[in-house]
Amino acid sequence: MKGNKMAQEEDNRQATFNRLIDAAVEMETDEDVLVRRVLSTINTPHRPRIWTALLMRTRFAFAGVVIIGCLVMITGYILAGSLFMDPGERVLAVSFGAPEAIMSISTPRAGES
Amino acid sequence: MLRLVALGDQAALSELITRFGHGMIVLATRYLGQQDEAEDVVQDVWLRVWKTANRFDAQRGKAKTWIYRITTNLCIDRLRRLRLRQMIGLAQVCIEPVDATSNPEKQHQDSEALKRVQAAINKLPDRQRMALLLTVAGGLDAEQVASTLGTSRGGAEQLIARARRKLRNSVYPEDIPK
Repeated sequence: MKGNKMAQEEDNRQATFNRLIDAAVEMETDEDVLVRRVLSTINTPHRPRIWTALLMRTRFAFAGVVIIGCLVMITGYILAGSLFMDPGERVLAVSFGAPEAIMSISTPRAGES
Repeated sequence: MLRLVALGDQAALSELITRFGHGMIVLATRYLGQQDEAEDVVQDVWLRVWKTANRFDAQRGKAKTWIYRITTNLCIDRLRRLRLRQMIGLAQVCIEPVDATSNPEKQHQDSEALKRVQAAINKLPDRQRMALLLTVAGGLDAEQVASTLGTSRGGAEQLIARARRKLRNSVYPEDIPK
């Protein structure tokens, strides 16, 4: 009998708790406004900005130009460095990956044997 | 219905919005804590549904789960962005309880307990809050929550159970084992 009463109390508490959660989350909304907003956005012709459109059309060419530009800059940096470097710096450059062949075309400067 | 949307049927889209819009706005508002942000997110969700309805695969799940997954992802992205903006001082993120209803009688009823539950919901970890809101606001079952959050059924059940336990402890603190 006592067990039944306790179970009944627990059921009531659980039901109250469930109602509380529903009430805590629930709010009034207006779906009609949402429908109107979405449909008006869909029906408004979207024209991308000129730069965005251009970039979208030429994105692969643009990426290619950037990559080639970077490679040219890196090669130029290594070449220029090898031509005007001190011997000590040249050793450092080689150890960082500059090829020996490039190093050998550099002109010896005063003081170098 | 989504097949019709994919074919460009705006009436079908309106029907879907009427069917799921309420739950989505409630979910987004309670998750983000700001109704205007939530409405923006839900609008973005429907635009995405409109553009990508042809990618929906009915064999992989229900339309409702698919739409709620998009909502969940956009809500998470928006909250992340809001927190970033808050971090650099551009915005304030305060998850405040939004008025539950305009009915004063209902508002008065259990208002203290209601406030405690709302505060407890806002303090839940993001994933637990999302799982709970998907069940309460979206009406999804554990299987659908699992599919929406990309977890197992057991994982989803655990998230929901933990969230409910925390909320219950906030309403009935005397039940907490000492």
